[in-house]
Amino acid sequence: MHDTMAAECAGVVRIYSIASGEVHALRGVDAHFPQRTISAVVGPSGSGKSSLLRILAALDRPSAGSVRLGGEPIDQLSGRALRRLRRRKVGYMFQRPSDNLLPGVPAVEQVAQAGRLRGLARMDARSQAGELLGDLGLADRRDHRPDELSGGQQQRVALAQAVIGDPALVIADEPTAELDTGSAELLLGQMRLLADRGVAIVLSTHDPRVVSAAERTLSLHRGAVASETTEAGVLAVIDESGRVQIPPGELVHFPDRRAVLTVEPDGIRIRPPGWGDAGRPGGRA
Amino acid sequence: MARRRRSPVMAATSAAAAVLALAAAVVDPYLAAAGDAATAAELARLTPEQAGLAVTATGPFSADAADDVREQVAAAAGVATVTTTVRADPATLVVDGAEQRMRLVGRVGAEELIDVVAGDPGDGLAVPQLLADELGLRPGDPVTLARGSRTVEERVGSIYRELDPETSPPALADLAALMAQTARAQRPFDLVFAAPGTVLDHMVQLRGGAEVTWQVPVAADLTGRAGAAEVRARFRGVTVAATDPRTRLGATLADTAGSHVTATIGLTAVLDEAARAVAAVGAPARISGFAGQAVALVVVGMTALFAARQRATELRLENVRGRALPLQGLRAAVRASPAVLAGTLVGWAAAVGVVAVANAPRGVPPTVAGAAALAAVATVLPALVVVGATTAVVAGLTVRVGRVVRVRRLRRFPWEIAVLALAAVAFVQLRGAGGLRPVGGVPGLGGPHAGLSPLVLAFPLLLLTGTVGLAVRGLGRALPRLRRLGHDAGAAPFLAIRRLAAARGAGLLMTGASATALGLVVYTAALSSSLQTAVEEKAVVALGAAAVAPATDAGRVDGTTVVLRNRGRLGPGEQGVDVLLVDADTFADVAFWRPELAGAHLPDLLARLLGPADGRLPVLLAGQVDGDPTVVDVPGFLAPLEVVDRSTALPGQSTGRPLLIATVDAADAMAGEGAPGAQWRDRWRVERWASGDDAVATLVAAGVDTDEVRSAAEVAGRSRLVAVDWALGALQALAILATVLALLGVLLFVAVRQRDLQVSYALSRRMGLTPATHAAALLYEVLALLVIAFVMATGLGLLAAAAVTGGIDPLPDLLPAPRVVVPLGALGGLLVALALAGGLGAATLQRAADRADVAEVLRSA
Repeated sequence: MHDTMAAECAGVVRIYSIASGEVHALRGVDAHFPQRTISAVVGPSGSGKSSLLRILAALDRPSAGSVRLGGEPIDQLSGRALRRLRRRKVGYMFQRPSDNLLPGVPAVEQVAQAGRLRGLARMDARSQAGELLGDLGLADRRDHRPDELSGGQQQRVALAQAVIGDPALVIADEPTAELDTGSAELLLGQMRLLADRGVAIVLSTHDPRVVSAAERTLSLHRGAVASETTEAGVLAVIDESGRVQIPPGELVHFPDRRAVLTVEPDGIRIRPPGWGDAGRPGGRA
Repeated sequence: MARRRRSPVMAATSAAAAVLALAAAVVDPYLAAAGDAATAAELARLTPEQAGLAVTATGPFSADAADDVREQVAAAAGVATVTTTVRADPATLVVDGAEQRMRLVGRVGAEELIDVVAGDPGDGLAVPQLLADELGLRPGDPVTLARGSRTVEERVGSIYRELDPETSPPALADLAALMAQTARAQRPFDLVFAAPGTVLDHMVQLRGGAEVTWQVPVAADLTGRAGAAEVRARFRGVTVAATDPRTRLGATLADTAGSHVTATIGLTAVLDEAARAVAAVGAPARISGFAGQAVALVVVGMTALFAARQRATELRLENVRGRALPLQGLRAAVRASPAVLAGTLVGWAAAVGVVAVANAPRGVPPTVAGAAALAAVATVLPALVVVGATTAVVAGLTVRVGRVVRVRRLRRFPWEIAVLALAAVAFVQLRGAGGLRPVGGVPGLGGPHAGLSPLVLAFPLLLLTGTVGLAVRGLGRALPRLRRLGHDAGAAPFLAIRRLAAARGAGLLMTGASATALGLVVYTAALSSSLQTAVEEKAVVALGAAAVAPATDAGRVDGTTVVLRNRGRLGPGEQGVDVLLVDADTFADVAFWRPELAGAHLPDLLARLLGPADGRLPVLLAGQVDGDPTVVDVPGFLAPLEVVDRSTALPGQSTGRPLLIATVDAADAMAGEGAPGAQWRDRWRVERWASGDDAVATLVAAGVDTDEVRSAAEVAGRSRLVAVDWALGALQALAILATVLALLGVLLFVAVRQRDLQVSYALSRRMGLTPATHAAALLYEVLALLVIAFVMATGLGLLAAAAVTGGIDPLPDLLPAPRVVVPLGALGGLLVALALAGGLGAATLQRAADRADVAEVLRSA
């Protein structure tokens, strides 16, 4: 079991003001991200994945609701405290490999710099950077500059940067989007390895391979959690107000958006109006 | 640390820092140089004696006592030469029973300075011509000096022409002024020259007193303000001693003169003038300095912005990793510090160097250069703070989501109207009070200097900013319509037009900023050339031609004309008038003339002066004349007048008095009719005028003494113009700095667009666009934006200059009034600079686009 939570969200709302009005990017998201786990956040474009990841990465604060990172609430933190939290507890990977690396800087130096920023001593940062690159299969590439690395290698260096110094949480925004199949699988394997060491990894993706590699999948739809998939299966989501979010795949059974809820000794049953105890007209629910 | 090519950004940062340091450091050396120039101009106007120390005492001095004081003054002042001038109490000159009141005066070396018409000035008394005529005196004649019952016998040594305050040698200016101040109705009071010792001896015999002045001249090579202040401090010791009876000098003076001792230092007035000039230049110079610094700081910020955009990946990475924004700013500032320091050094050197070259004879004093260095160093911190703050803000924005709504709302606010309203207020103020304002007037020390009002800078800036803002707003709406054009043109014009039609944000901002900066250049250049032309024209009108000198013969010499000058009265009102008799054949070729002065060409006017008209002298008349004059009365020449035309100004009109011009031939004809005396010409001063750039050489070739030639350039360099001249210089310097920054802005704009253009170029090449066509399109686009800026700048700059020029006449008492002169040279220079900047920008872009890795560009797009 994954008892300790790297991040927790409760009723998170994020509203952006733009010239033409307001955009409600997140509408009361409840979620938690345990340590030693890879969690995938999925959903169509505009569903709020990036907004949620930015808040989890302590790059942004929710407009309402609460978020705790490593047990520390971030919604009341000052900008400086938020940056300090980010520095200590969060690693981040951009989608584009070139965005994760400084041009012209050798791989080991890239990772060591990130470690220094996380508070490691210079020598420790350098040695840990070397070790990490070795663990990620880049020992022979440690002195290569970004333009001498493939996209997959660049993302592995980015992963090393994100996890050096043992952050509580690593956020990756579609990390495999620009990688070929082999590189993506390699990267996911390395992520699995690092997660097993205790890091919580949250990544957004459209990639089924990533989803299948994740222990938990949070499906967002129009700024709300549509469903959550765990080892236990696809779960409906109940928010703090008691609203139940039916998984999108099952919504087709509720064309008029009404349901009959029956509390029974062995559980609670939700069925479309008109369906009998035996199930749908002519069959079981 | 990321390794990448930063040289263009660093070079731009250095250039902006250099301009910043230059704007900050140049003010003090500039003001010091203006003070030096004003000091030099004032000293050039004075003789070394007038600028120096003068101790004056009134009493019955003996020649020995005067000599004793002279030696003591020389010792106290630490000099070898002291000039003694004696002005005796009034006495009477008696000749064969006829008497005339006069004053004996004596000055060392006066015999060489007065205009002797007969006799030997070193032998006996020098008697003024009119007095000699009245008493029938000739050199060698005995005369009696009388005062009460006492008499002294003397004899006439020479006869001299009366001193004229405007034309007499500077050394005799005070005596000439005395002569003019005590003028009687018909002619000046009579000053009879003798050697100072002789005057004092005679006054002792006549039991009269005398005012004796001992003058210590300043060194002939004294020019700088600091040097003048040092000499004045030394002279002050003498003035204290002269008025303190406890000192030997003071006791000697007190024994003879009692309390009638005064001591003055001419340098005090000189230094006061210099101080007033500096005060007058101060406001525009400091405003220009601050404006230059403000604009330079904006450009420093732009370079930092560009650098931050180049380092966006690094900044974003550091931001998501939690590095503090101030720390990111600090790192950027540290990274930029070598460039800023180098630029600061260059700026300081440029400030001192430019002023040293402009003030070549005097240079920049070390203390001022030191202060300038401190001012330059003081700009390093603001520059680095701007770099750091800009980087921190950009870094913060790298991870921010959502657009800033307030900026859009601000853009909608019609700030241009508000700015134009302020411009209108400034214009009304300028029209009411004029663009010149008195600065530092001190009673008794001459009138105040004319300093440029800050509105002279504020008005064009407001007009340019407001109008250019409106124009840019209009361009934003008009340019998209260009899409309809160019379909039949070649690929390069078509591409350029499409890009122009899509110009937004940075492109239009660059165009507006360039137009404002260039407009300021056009404005200051137009203002400067207009005033320069006005001063030159005024000087030429005052002199009559480019160069004028006294002459001894009236023969014709190619390239010159001979003019007879005298002063008389217009009847019947007895109004004083200057009279010129000119050679009708050559005068129009040499004399300065602008048809708008009288609405006619000078040869046409002169043609109407030929021959007496019904026994009256045909004349041209200029200036304020009371009533209709009917007669002109010049000593020895009386003639009825026929005024054939009146003019605003006439050549040779150097004073506020009216000027009357007639031809020598007509005057001769009048003399032939018996009106004037037969020898009438002997009483007129003969001048030879020449025109053109080589006017002085022409006059010298005609046989006049070089030292006696007065040129328009000398008149135009009068000290009272120094303040306006240097203030305009400060505005011009600001305009040039603004242009440099604007061109720097163009290059930065080009650099900012580099990435977008690389993507566009990569795509266009795949569609078959050749590099040459793309380069041509870039050139057309950049040049089109710059030409739009130039056209706006020229129109608005000239408009502003036309509105202001009339109100900043630095010599309102001299004609003609200033008119707007289009600075063609400056406009041409600007066009060349813009073409070069456009070409350089387009070439830079094309080179970068050619070198870019297409695959990488498209991947990053």
